[in-house]
Amino acid sequence: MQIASRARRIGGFVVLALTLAACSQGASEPANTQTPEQITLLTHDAFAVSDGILQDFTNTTGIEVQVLRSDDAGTMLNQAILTKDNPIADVMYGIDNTFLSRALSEGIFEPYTSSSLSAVPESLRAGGQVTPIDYGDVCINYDKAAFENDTPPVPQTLHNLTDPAYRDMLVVEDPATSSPGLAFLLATIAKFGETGDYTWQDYWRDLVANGVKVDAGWTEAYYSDFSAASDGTRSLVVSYASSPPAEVYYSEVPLDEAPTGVITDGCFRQVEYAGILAGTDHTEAAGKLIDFMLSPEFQEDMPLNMFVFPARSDATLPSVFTEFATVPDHPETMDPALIDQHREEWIQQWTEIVRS
Amino acid sequence: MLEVRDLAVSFEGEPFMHHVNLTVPDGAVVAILGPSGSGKSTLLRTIAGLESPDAGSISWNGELLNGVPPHARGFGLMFQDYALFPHMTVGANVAFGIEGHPQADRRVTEVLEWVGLAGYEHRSVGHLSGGEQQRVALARSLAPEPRVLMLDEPVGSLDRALRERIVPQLRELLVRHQITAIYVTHDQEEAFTISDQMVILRDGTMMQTGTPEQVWSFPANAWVAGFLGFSNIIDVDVSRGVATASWGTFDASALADGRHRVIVRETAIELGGPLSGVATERRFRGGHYQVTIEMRDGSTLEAELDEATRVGDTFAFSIDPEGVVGLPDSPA
Amino acid sequence: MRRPLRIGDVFLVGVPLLFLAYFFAYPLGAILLKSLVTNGRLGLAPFSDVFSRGTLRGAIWFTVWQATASMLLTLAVALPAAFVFARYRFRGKSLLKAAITVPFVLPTVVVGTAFLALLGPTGIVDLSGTVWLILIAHVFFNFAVVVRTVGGFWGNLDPRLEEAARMLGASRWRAFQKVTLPLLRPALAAAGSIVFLFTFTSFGVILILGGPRFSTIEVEIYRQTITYLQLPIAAALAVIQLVGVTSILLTYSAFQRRRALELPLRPSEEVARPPRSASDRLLLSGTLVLSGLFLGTPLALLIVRSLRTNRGFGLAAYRALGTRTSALFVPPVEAITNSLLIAAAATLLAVTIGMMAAAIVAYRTSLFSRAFDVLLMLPLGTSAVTIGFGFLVALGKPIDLRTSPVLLPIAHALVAIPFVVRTAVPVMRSVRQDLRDAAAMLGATPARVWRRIDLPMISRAGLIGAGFAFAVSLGEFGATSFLARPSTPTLPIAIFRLLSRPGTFPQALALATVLMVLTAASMFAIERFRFGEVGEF
Repeated sequence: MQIASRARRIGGFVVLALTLAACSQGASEPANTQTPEQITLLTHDAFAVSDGILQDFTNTTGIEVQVLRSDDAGTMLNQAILTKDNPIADVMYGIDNTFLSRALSEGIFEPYTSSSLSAVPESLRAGGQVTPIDYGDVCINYDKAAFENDTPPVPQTLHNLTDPAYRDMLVVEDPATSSPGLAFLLATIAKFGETGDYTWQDYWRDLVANGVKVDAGWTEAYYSDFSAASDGTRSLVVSYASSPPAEVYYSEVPLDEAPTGVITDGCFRQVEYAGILAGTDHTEAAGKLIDFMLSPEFQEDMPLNMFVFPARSDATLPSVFTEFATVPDHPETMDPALIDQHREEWIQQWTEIVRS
Repeated sequence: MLEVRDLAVSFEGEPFMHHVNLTVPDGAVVAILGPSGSGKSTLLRTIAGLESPDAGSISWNGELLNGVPPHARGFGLMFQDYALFPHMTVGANVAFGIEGHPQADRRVTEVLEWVGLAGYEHRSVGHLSGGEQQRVALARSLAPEPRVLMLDEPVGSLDRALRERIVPQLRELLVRHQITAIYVTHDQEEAFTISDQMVILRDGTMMQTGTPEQVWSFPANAWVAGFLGFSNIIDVDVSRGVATASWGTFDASALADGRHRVIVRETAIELGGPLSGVATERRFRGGHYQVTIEMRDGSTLEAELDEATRVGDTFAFSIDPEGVVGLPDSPA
Repeated sequence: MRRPLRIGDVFLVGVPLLFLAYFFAYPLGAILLKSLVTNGRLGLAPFSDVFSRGTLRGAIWFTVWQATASMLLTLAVALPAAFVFARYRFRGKSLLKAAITVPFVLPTVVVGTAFLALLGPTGIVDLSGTVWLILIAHVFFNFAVVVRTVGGFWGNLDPRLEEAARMLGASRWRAFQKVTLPLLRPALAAAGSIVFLFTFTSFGVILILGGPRFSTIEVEIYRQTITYLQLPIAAALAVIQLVGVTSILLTYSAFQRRRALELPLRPSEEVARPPRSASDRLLLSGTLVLSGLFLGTPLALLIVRSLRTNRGFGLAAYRALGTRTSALFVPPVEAITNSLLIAAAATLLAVTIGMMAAAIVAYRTSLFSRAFDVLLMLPLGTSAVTIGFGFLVALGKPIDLRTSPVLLPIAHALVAIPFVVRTAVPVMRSVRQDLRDAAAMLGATPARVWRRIDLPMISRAGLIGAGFAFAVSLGEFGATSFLARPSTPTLPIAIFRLLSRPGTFPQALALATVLMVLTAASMFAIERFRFGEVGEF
């Protein structure tokens, strides 16, 4: 008897706890007389906004936002495609130019033009189905401490990296499993091309000959091999243009200078878009959310949370960005359709070159 | 009263026991005696309900028990290796069959006293000696006041001295509390000590039933005799009260003329007399000597003698005709 | 074998079967069909594609042999520790036992940094780029599986059997070889099968520690799905993976077909003794020290690094976890609560369903129960991508569970049930039939026999299973990452997030340390859990 009743109590507690947890997952809404409209935003795991930003949206529009997170953009896109007929969300944010073409060809979006689109530079726009929200540049970061005495000097171009002076200094990520890795590969393809005297394949062969290290992902490259962030020996790493400001921002000791710098040659621009998922019942509300994402409030909140640059050209950047960030003037770009068409082939060619 | 009628039981798929009949009156102790493989445990388990018979019936006071599951028969079974529950104390083990009954605690104390383990309630089962475990197992099976208590070789794993002490005590306990019991063993001495009635089993067949005295005095055949420990089974020609064996003659006034297979009890051989033989082996049994006598023609007789005879000595002996029992078997 | 009530039988089989059918078989079938069927026709082209590509064929082969090697290595390395925990009583035993489960729970991405530091270019010995790094990491992560499964079972085996062998003239080693090892076989096979399945579908270790040179089926499925968006090839690979896993499981189950011996089981408290001889003490201390070094060094490294700040050592990273600059959408305390709640739910689910299923597997030897056994183990050998996406495709109707928080404990339970079953079955099979008969003769109905005899004796196995389930859930990363989750992250997800951006590395390690402590504490609590007779055996 004792056993049974104690077991029942424990079981009851767990059920209660589960129920509470399940309930707390739902929108923690203020008591409203009318049930507020709720829309769902599907995004990837790097999505972060300050407390209260989404609450501001709800206060202004009466619409509540539930956020669904996927692991990364590729996973998110797969999820959207698989649930096309019965979408699990109303808005998708975080699709970038490397995956855009595929998303468009699968027809998962409903066309929408935001009223704030005019504030976004032409170079970032990508047609009527998606709205650009932010961008980031994948660039080579260097450890300033390693280049202190200027021998060798900080490399200025991608081509410099094949110079024996920079032997065994570079660490990159595998494009098959890493988004910045893929971006860097695309940058080299865009820069050196597939035909001519010196193709991108030649470039990579030279990099391999010069001792380039390949890690599976950004975490390993940055936190295990990059000398500025670990005990590793590599002073050059493929990372983001926003990495130096992040280092300053998170530093415990206030810094006058960023410990790392960015090589502006061979950066690849990644633009992130938001779109309304076709099949949603809340088209209007979804549109409002996208408009909100292009609003100055949201755009100016993004840099310090997601370490990206706002798409709006008139958004004010936080000081840590203006002081410590380098924005390349001419980053490499590539037509999303081209990326989609050749991605697999390029990665496989790259793999063959690097593995041998 | 337990009645087993015409029982047939299979063992591992093969038919094994048939035409088994048994009646156990209330308060009686019945021993089932037989060598290993004779089917005694199978019979017990079938009566208990742990195995199903192929044919026949088991009934208690006229109520048919076929198909009734073991936990509903009201029988107790004391297992060969005790099967004490290792995760419970002595008290919990003993109380298992009567949990929830209002007088359970009192009964536990009572049966533990019966078996001489008063105060053992909180002991852990794993630390008990063999004898103690056996008594706990006994107490456990007695606690629910079973209609019939079945004991499957309960003293088999105990040392001889302990066995010889416990079995009479066990009988005394069973009789005092008028417990109906079936006692299974392969040891004839235990069977003789404990039972009111004996059943002798061989290969699934009942060889003989009767009181211990009856069985002892008149074994049903040579096999039973041999099993009961009789060593001297010889074929003789009897003519006018005199039996002639291959090595000599002796009085056999109880037998009719003709060729017989007889038992000569070991106790019937006495020192001094017309026969002679050589003592080839002698074993001291703490009260008497077990002597092997080799006769002229090489055959041997086993004798139980009070006095020592030196090994290798030829000595004279006689056979008491009271100790000569005829067997129904046909001689060679 | 004693048969429980008929109604009970149907219930015991029905509930686990329904659970697996709806939450595993159905989503699996749905995603595979969706990926392989185009225009209503089942295409087999992806399969020929797979076999025609050298890299994919190589991946299949590598998967099989590294899983086999990992399994054998883990069994060999962890066996002494299993012995020590089973046979000896020593101070701090419960704490140490809880501590060895910590590696099992940590996400690979965190431990990866420590491994690369120790065994990479700047480490003690440079194993980077070799398969040894992968194998050692596998041993590291799966050490606890062997110690808890085999050690648990060993802890109930009567040592008098070995003593009898020694008395008959066998040396210690010979007694072990001829008596103990055969008796341990069911537990060894159980632990081995779990380790094999885990390493067969290993993802993080291969990716992070192997580098571009090594690839397994699981890694290829990920690449094909996420990077190339080639669902048909990924599905073909998933099918091949399933076929491989199923055939191995069928072999394992056939190997177990012989009716398991009813073993002399004794309460674990009785079996464990303090070390007596000098060789006892040497064995105990040696094993503990070596195991401690092996498991503890990477963990210690992580903790030390979490305390490293710009100003020397301090708790800055831990404090930063509580502030808003942590770049998480919600404070980490919620991540902890979330993880604990999900783990509790997953454990309850896994233990309930797992014990039911174990009863069927243990007490029946029919073809059905063997097939059932294989089905139970399958989720462990199925690609996380497939399960996660399968949920999305299948569970939209009639109730839309696709983005429900209840999917997390369900996904975790799927992976945890095999543990519960595998730890319970050898013990269930070993409970002596005559104890049940004795209970029946004392008037206990079959239900009571189960409750008073079987249950307490298998309860320890049940608790070990519960401990596993809890640990599995706390550390589950794979299937979780392929679900679309409402906001609150679990600890591994939160750690991963912090590791994916610059500047938050110390915080990631701080959170990982929190996860370590939480795991050890939970394991400790479960180990000590007692009510009535449960847990005492």
